[in-house]
Amino acid sequence: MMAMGTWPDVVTTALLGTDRRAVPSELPESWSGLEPSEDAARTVLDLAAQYGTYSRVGTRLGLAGQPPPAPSEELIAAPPEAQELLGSLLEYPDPSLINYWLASCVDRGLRVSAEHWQPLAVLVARNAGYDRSLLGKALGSGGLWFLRQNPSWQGLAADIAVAMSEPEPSNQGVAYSEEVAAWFGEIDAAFAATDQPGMDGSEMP
Amino acid sequence: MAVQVQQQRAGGELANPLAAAKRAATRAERVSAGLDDLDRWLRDQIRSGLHGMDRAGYAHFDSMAARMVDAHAPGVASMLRSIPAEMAGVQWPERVLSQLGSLHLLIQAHRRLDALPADLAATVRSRIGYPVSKSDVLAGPGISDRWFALGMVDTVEFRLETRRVWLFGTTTSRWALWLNFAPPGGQLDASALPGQVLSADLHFYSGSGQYRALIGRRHDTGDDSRQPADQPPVETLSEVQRRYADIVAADPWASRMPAVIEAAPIPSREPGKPWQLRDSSGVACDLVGLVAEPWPLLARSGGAPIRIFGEWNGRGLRALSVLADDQGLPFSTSVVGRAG
Repeated sequence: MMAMGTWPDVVTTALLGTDRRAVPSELPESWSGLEPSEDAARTVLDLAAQYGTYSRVGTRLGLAGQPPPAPSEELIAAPPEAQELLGSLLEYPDPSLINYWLASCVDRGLRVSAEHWQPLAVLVARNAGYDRSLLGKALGSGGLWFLRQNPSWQGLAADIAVAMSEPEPSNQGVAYSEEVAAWFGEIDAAFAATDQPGMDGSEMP
Repeated sequence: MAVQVQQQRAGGELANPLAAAKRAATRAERVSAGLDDLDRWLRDQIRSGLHGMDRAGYAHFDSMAARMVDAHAPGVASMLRSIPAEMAGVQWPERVLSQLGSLHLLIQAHRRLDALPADLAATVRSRIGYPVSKSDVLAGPGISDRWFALGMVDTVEFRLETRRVWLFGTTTSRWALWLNFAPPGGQLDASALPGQVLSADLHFYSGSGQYRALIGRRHDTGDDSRQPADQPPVETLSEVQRRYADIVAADPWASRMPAVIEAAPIPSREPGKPWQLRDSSGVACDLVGLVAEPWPLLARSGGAPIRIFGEWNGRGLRALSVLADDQGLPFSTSVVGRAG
């Protein structure tokens, strides 16, 4: 294979053009199989064909340290019906509905599955109407680990930590429209499987 | 008047061997003439220098690509049109020179087509874009299996939509690439989508290092929706590199191959730096071809290794799906952070 110093020389010659710069004159012995040519441009293309093939298969991969693993999760994921409903709610998000879903999840000691971590983080990070304390509890230890991996969510992670340490706000006296109340009923129904004795959440992550 | 002998072909169509031979000879002459033009163009680029090519953009390559289409060398046209995409970043001259070298190699190989081993000659014809009739491919032996569709990429080039679907034979452990095309207004074939299993005979194109196949007879087993217990073998990144070297030795123009690696995603730590995948031995490669940061992939992994299927291009992996795991998490294409 071509010495490392020779290939950059060939590239420089190609960049400037063989009309302006000569092909490196002393090529490594391993290149001796190439047909000699009086056409400098052809020589450069021959070298490129050979080195290009070598470099595609000979890329030296580096080593990387082990990434920080998520802590083991203690909470069970919410049931599939509830996860599916959350996915639908996230398509046209409404703070009162998302907050109600999160509260329903937290009240039952369940958590959000990993597939919803990113859309929830993106949504809550840009809108103060979402309850950060509920989100923090519903994310579980894995979801909070996930937030810490993205520098652009570190502000959100800090807000969640503060919110989780404060007393919970009361929603008593808040009036909701009939439409929102109907959605609350849908959410309750989606979590109903876990309300029956002996029924746990799903095996979802 | 010459008597023309007609034969019934496997696909049922009538063929005239003499006329077909004449057409093939005419085509070969046109291809040779086109490649001679390309050879002169390549040498002109090197004589005058690649500097400024990054600012010239697609138009600089489009005219020569159009010449290759006229010369009945659509594969070469496609290679030319892919070069401008290499012109981002500081190392573009090296990448572009490698691509020009690859075209140069194809021209030289075409000139010696008769002297090449049959498999390599078939590969050269395939890379140039010589047509192969579907009926000829389907007339070859089929390989029967339950083919698990692991990943799919849709692309558009000059309004022609192309879909490539990677299939894995769960009994034969053989990889296959099923390509289908749709003109403007047409629809791509959805017979095999990622996550599905197709019980069928696949007929492979000839050529060294060839994955491309056509779907032949389908078997109605009634269990095509069930995901197979036999998953593709997991490789370390070092094993993937060795296998890719074998593929490139057989087909120097191969630009991708299928691979499953068990690796943990590592987010980019600096703007502009790529995400990486780290395998169990600590070796890491770049995640390439991303259209968005793959945060769902990190969420799925929890920082631990997961089995990821994708296309290896020699420099990194284009992730296309995540395989089902022992904890009951399902096969998924939505977590890899890219469309298509």
